[in-house]
Amino acid sequence: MTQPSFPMPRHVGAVNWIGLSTLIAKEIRRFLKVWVQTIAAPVVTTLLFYSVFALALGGVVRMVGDVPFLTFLAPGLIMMAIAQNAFANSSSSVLVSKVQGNIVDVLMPPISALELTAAYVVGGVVRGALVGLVTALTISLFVPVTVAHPFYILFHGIAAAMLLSLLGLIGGIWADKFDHMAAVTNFIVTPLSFLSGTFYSVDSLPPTFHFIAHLNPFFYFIDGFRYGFIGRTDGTLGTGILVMLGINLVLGFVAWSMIKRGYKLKA
Amino acid sequence: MSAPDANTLPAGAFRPHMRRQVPAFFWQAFKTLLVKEMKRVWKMAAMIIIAPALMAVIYFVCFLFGLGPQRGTPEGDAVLTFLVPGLVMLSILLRAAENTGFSLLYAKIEGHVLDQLMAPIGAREVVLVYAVTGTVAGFISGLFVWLGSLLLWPQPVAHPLVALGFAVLAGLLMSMCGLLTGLASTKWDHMAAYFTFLFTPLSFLSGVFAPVAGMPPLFAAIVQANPIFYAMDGFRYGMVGQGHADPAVAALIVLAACALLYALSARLYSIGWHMKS
Repeated sequence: MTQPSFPMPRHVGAVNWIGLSTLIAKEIRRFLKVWVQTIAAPVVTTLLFYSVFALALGGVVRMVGDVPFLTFLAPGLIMMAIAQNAFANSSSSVLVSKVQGNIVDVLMPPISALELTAAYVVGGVVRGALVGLVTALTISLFVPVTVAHPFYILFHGIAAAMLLSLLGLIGGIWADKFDHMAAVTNFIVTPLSFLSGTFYSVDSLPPTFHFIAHLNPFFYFIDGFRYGFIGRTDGTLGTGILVMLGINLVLGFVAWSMIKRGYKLKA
Repeated sequence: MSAPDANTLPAGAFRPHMRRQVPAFFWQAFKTLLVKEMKRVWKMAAMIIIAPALMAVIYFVCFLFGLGPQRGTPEGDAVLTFLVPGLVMLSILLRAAENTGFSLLYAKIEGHVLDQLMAPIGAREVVLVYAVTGTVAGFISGLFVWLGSLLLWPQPVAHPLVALGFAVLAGLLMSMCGLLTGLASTKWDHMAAYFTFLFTPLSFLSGVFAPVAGMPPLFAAIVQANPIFYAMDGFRYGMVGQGHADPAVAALIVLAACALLYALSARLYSIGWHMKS
């Protein structure tokens, strides 16, 4: 057959599937290549927290409601690992690309802002899910992990990972230096994730703290995720689902419009 | 024209008549490097004060609410009393190791480690400088965590001098550990791996959060094989007046570990391990 002797414009449809899947594959390979840091390290850290709490109890079986404390703790810790790693993935990916300059490689091709947002979010969700899965399997060696409502586990796991990936994406676009990112992690993500009811039932808190805990979006996804495992909830699940969907939409829009305008990306 | 007068030569010019004898311990070089490292600590003050203090408050709140009213030691509320020295010590340990390790690795990666390898400054001065600055960084960080803890859980210090001594010893111990990881690493990934898989577990499982008496026997044995446990235990004796081991024995063990690590890191530095290739 005759080849045209001049370059033909490539036609990109409504969704650039090749571009999207390539970027997703790149995002996943990026963290799998350093799996010791991105998968093994968070699992070890989570188990460390778990053992510290187990040891601090000194063999006394403590109950939260009618659930043993260690069974209560496990889903919260798994969710914390999911959330922190989803955040770390998209934020570090964007920031490293920006600092090293290879961000142009994703800005130049015909990939739309929506596809870019989606690819980074999928990368973060996959990493969060992997870390969560490995952590859950490891914890289940020590404490039986029950599954009460698989749908809630899936929904809250994915929605939380999406939320944190979007937050990481926004943070990564906003930050100019690694110090900025460290500040966001240290002063926003870590406190919110620790003070979210992972370690305690918020029902047992003094009224002021009880109110503050309900302002923390992390509370809703940890609570819902835990409900999926042990069938016990501190709050209202419906509100939680609405809160998570709402925040995801808002953050998704913010991230999309930042990429669309090229905020701090296209100087 | 005769040779130019020595006083008019530029600063770095070759002066063959100058005596370049380096004493057994080169104070001038020690002081210079110490000032440089201290300036680094000063620039990172926010990182070694604010972030650890915030983390300590978060841990404290988590334990406070997490363990609820029934806290599982025979001494009742002792977990929280227990926790304060633990958190202060944790901050000292991690900050001391981080400071020295990161400083050296940064110098290696950026290449300015050359400046201290070329200068007539030996391993003994360099290692001492790192040990001192790491200890200072850890100490400052621990001090602020302790001040913060006074707001949440005021309690008197039983033996201030013992506490101070063990804080310094723990800082020294971990500075040495940090220095060794700085020597052993050539990439940030290596450093991060040492911290995640070695130092953080060692520090967390040194009886920081729980009395060794309440642990299962196997765990208790592991914890007691950890030199950091003795630093922790002695420090706790200084802070709350009760410890598991005899403080004098604990001090000796920590000192011995420090001496061993000092000898090892001085040797590795002097042969230029992972630095002079």
